[in-house]
Amino acid sequence: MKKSDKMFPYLLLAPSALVILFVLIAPLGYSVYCSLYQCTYMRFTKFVGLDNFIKVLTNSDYLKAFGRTFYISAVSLVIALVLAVMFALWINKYSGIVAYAIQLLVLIPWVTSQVVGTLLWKWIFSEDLGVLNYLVKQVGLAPLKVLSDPKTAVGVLIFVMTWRIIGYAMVQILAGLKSIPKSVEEAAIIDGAGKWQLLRFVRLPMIKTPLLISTIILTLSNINNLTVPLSLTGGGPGTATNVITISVYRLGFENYQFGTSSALSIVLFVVTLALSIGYVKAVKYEV
Amino acid sequence: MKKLNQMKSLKKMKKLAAFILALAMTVVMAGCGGGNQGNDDKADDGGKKEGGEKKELLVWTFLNPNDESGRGYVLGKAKELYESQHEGVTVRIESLEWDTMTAKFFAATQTGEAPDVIWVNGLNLGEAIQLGVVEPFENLFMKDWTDEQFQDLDDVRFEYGATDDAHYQLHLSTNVYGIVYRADLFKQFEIDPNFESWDDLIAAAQKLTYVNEDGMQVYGLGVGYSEKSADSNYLRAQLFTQYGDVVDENGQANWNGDVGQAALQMQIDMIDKYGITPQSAVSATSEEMYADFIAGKYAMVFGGSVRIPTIKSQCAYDPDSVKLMAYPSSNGKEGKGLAAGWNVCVYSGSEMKEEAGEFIETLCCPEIDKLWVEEGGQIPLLKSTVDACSEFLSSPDNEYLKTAMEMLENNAVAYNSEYVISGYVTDLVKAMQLAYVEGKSVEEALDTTAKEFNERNGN
Repeated sequence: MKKSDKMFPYLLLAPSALVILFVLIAPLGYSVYCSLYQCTYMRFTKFVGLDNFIKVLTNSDYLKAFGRTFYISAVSLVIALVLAVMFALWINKYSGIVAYAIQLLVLIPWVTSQVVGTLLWKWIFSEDLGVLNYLVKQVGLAPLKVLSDPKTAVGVLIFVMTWRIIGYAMVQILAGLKSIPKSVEEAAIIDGAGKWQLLRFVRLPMIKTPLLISTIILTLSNINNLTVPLSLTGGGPGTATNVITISVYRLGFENYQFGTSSALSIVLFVVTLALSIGYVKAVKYEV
Repeated sequence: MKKLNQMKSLKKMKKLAAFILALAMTVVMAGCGGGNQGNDDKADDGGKKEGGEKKELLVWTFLNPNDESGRGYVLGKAKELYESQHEGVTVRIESLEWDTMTAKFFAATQTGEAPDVIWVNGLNLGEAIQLGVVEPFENLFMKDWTDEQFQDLDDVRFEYGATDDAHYQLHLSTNVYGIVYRADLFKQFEIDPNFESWDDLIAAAQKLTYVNEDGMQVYGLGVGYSEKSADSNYLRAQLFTQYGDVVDENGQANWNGDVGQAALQMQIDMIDKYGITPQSAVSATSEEMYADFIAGKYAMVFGGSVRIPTIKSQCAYDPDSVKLMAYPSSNGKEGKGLAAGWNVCVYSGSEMKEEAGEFIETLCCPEIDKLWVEEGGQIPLLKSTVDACSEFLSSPDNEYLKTAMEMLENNAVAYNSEYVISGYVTDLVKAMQLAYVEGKSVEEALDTTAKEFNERNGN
């Protein structure tokens, strides 16, 4: 092989590699650098080593925020995946314009601006002037305390996060279902498999890859989501919905403590990376 | 053989096409990467300082000079006036998000990318001065100013952050805090808005808490306690009234004393005991509170003068009924509210400090100040503008501006610029969240947030 032929693939990769370097790797490296310094207002006043990491990992507020983040993200993810599988199985029966229309409808939350979608829900849930309580009052019930009650606020946040991601998971799973050869399903039916057995032993194993991809992407999306919790509840009431991304945001952009904020964001990065590796290890990645 | 040649030719074509594609992508990406973050009104000028023979003055603000009305429009007019008076200089205005603009400025001073003129958030001027990133005007255009010029501009706003011989900022978008109220409801319930005490105000708010003819529950006094976007509240009003500040003489949080405890308890009572504020206030942002006031949910809200034009333009009730009043007296002290705003400063590391100073001088010249009042709905910067705009200010539509000017003179307190106080507004509402939602005692809630404030700001 000529030398120029050997170089050619690298040449093709160069633009995207450069973009990744400048957009992802360089900021990550800079963030690591910030995290090792006392850095307020982007002034690197003192090298503190791992002090910022110790500070955030021994702060009970941040640890609780991590716990809250995982709880909200996990519940939202599980509900979204279950519903996405059900939707996908349902839509898989249809073809033509009906199937397209349903897919488009379910995908809208994923492609809609997160701020716009969240604010719409916030208006619906507004306690005194919202649509939900208007309807509740119309049927003669007492208005609900939706966003001012810590328990329901968590529920509402999970609901909106689930609403946002369900379309993406559904499309992925539907693509997996469509790729299952008819002959395999027919063979299972001929062998006497019922609907449940067909799902349990044929379809689910064969959509493992799209399920895994959805799980990884949506886990990362949920855990790193700042827009929805900040726009919907701002972390409140109290600390009920104060997820870790809100803490990172406030440390950096409200209190200008970029050193601590960077350390917290790196801890978050490491946790999400470990989760992703864990997923891939747990479910053997196959196409 | 022929087939082999065709394949070779095809391979070459593929290589060539891929190379051209890669080259195009690189060029496009390089082009995209050089863009600015904001909305440039003149983005095709090339370099920051030199574009041919012309110098370029970079301004960071949250205003948009392409607005057809309001403050952005006035900024556009100031730019036109400045450029007409400074032939060799063009002004490039970049509009940034207001809530992260000051942080970006602080970061940019470290990388040499800071603008020549910057709108600094009022809360952060103290830090800007301490960091040495803003230039005293006395080194620039004010070195030639007469006493009359100083006196014309001099008030609590101009003195914010000033030392004996240094003024660092021009105060724009002045927001004087007090109680924004609906005079039509006051008239309907025969309530005199000249409250002598908070007790009077609370009694009035109880009367004004009712279900209106449309079946809407109206509350007497609105406020937003969400940490996402907090603003004025009773606790802050009490701190300014009693202490004139939110920190003590050592820069430590002052809200965990008797005044703060009584005020926080009163905030809780306003919801639970008096019922004049809804429980939903704990999850409402200040923006939502204003929106709810516009929708008719509140008879009074803790608010700022700068919001009144928007409220008037959007409300479904009589806009002339929207009025502003100072906080009532408390413990024998006249009610004091914050006079906040944006501080227009010159970056101390700018290579065009003189020109930047002259641009700020243009922003406060009589011609532009008149526009700030009449087009921007702002309180005049210059005392002389009051006479120049007397007809405009005497109009019933603009009564709130006169009230705000009176409040600025008699009931306003500016931030302390000696100590770092960033994040204190969030701390105050967090205390409410801890006490009301998390069930902590008033003392514990205030102590927790005061400690966090002190540790964070290191005063």
